[in-house]
Amino acid sequence: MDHVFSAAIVIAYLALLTFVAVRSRATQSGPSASPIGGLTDREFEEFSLARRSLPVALVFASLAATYIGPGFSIGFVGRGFKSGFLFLGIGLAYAIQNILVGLLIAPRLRGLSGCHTLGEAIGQKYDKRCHVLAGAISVGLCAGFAAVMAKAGGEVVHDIFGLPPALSVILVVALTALFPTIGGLRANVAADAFQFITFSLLLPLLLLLVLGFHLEGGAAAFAAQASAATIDGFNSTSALEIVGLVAAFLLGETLIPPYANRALACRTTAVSRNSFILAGLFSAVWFTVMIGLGVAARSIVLEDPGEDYVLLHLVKSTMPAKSYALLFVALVSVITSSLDSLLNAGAVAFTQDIVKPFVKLSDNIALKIGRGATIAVAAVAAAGVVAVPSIIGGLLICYTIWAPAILPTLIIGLWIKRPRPLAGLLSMGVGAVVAVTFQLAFSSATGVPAIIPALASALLAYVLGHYSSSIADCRFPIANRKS
Amino acid sequence: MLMALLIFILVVMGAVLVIASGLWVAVALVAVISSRDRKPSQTGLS
Repeated sequence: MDHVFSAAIVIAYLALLTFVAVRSRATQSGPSASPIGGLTDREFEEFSLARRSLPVALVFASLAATYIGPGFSIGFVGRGFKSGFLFLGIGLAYAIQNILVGLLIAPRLRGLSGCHTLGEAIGQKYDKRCHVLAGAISVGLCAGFAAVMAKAGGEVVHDIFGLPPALSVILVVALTALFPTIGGLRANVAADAFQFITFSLLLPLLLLLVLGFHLEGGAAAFAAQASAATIDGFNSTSALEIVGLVAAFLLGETLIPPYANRALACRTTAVSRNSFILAGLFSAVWFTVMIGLGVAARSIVLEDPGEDYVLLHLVKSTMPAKSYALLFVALVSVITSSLDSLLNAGAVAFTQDIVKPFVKLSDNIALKIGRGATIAVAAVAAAGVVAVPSIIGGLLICYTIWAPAILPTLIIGLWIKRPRPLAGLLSMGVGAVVAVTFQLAFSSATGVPAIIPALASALLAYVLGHYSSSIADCRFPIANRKS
Repeated sequence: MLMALLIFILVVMGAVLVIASGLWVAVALVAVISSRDRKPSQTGLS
């Protein structure tokens, strides 16, 4: 009976999600939209940027739904269980990053004309070579992040329904790829908003129920558990580890392709700024709730179930069996809302940054390539699951590569008057190579998080490239102008 | 005791704020998906 109820809840949820995504696509606005939302001659603009018409509530929800993946939900509950409010402090670095992006970078990015991707923004500021390199890094990183999400989704389906692991992964990836493949960014953002509503109602309600009806000892017991867990956390985490985690949270996810796409798809620069600021403030509140669930679980889940299973055990211990289906819906929302955004962003980056610079494409062909690339990125992500060490481990590897490879080039390029292509190329190349090499060969041996040396190398390479180009410009001004 | 109460209230307030955000987005999403035949509005919701 429970299985029938669970299946009914899941089917109803998927039907509602599909309705929202299809309906949002049918309501696309703009001068070239057809009345029934069919193909138009500007369809790739719709597929990639939703005609730059997204309002603040949807961009905010989509940003939050994208960054709240398994790490920021299941992972944070587990961290709250083990190290109390230590991880809230680390998570605040993430909130600050979003607010800074909203204040300093997103409006400038949105202000660039004719940009569909981060790679194009870099291409406008530097040159075509930088555009293609940034695009290749974006596609690779989207596939990497998507593999982590696919692993998490597969684990949830496997745990709850008992399906074989490989089939669970394929099922999650295939179902998630439907919306971005067919409906592009608009359907993706609408699905994100719906998923945001689902988990932002279910998980805090779970916390309120646990605090209200299952916590023996009330506020005093909760505070005592919080204090004990936080002290444990500080005792078991070295200062260097904390610095590495703060750096990863501050920089690792900054403007990864799905976020950049949303900054570019906003209706105005003000919408872009406000959405990121709201998303940053929301993340701080969200982390408080997740850590709160983890701390509350300490007096309910008595044996340590392993970090990734605290939330599941908390629900098992406190809710009736039927509520498991609701938890499944919440967790699937958390995971697929991140996965679909990554698939869409990877596909748009592939089309716009890797194919378009070399081949002139009609809008219709660009749309077909975009859809094909969504399926290809999904397939790579599903296959890449075997290489993902763990959810948090996989995310940290992606952060380690993204921040040094892209951020110095992007941020400096948006702020200085005349960015030099050599500086961009060197910084992206050196940042990516040092990040991968250090992560694979030295990180575990030295205990130094790879993001720190890789970021320092990327910055140094940028400075060298910039000044050597400046010197060359001074010595051979005419020759350089011609080239 | 006061500190304990403060932490507890902070966590409860967080849960309430997250729920409020979910409801705000729900209202915006309903406005978007029910605006099929309207011209683009000035409110930022269509």
